[in-house]
Amino acid sequence: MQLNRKALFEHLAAEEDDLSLKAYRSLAAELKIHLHVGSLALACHA
Amino acid sequence: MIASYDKIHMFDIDLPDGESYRESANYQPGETAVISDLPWGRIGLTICYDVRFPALYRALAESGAAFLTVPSAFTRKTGEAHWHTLLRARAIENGCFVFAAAQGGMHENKRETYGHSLIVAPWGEVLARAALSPAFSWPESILRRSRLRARPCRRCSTAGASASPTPRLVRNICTWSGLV
Repeated sequence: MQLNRKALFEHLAAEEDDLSLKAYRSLAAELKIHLHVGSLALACHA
Repeated sequence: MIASYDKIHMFDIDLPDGESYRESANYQPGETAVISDLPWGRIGLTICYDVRFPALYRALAESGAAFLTVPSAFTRKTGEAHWHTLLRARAIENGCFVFAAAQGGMHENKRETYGHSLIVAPWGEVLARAALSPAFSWPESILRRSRLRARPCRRCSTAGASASPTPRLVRNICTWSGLV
């Protein structure tokens, strides 16, 4: 959990734009495995 | 992506040593428990501080979850005191396997997390454990373990947390992604 609000919001992305989530999905597809990702901070749609 | 879960219980606490956390200042809590059907069984998704709220786990188990996940970043202080006990309790009382990957070590702002990732069987045995370093575990016997399922108690409420009245801008989620 990022405690620094400024640092948190600097690196925040929405679910569809989050680079780490894209990488995890790609890795799961490549290896044909289920991948449990927990947890991620994602920007909400306002 | 197969399923995603928004953390329901926000980590808003003050510890005796002066550490203080207000997750709800930045994060928007979820409102719904989430289970997902995987090839080897039904799994219930939770995150970290959720583990202190047994009703959520009972609701997941009553919905058929055989596996419960608790990815976490427990503080060193709360982890030393409660981590193993809470995870074993959730496994035993619900007759489920518990998978709990955990961050460990020093972070920014001198925050320290406990680590000690665990896999716990429904009987309460710890099938795999890690320390502070990254680790990989695969207990071969996990699916052959016996399970003891408690009967649902109709007197107990399984209501989830209520929605936050204040809009916030961040979600704390865990997901399953991959091929079905």
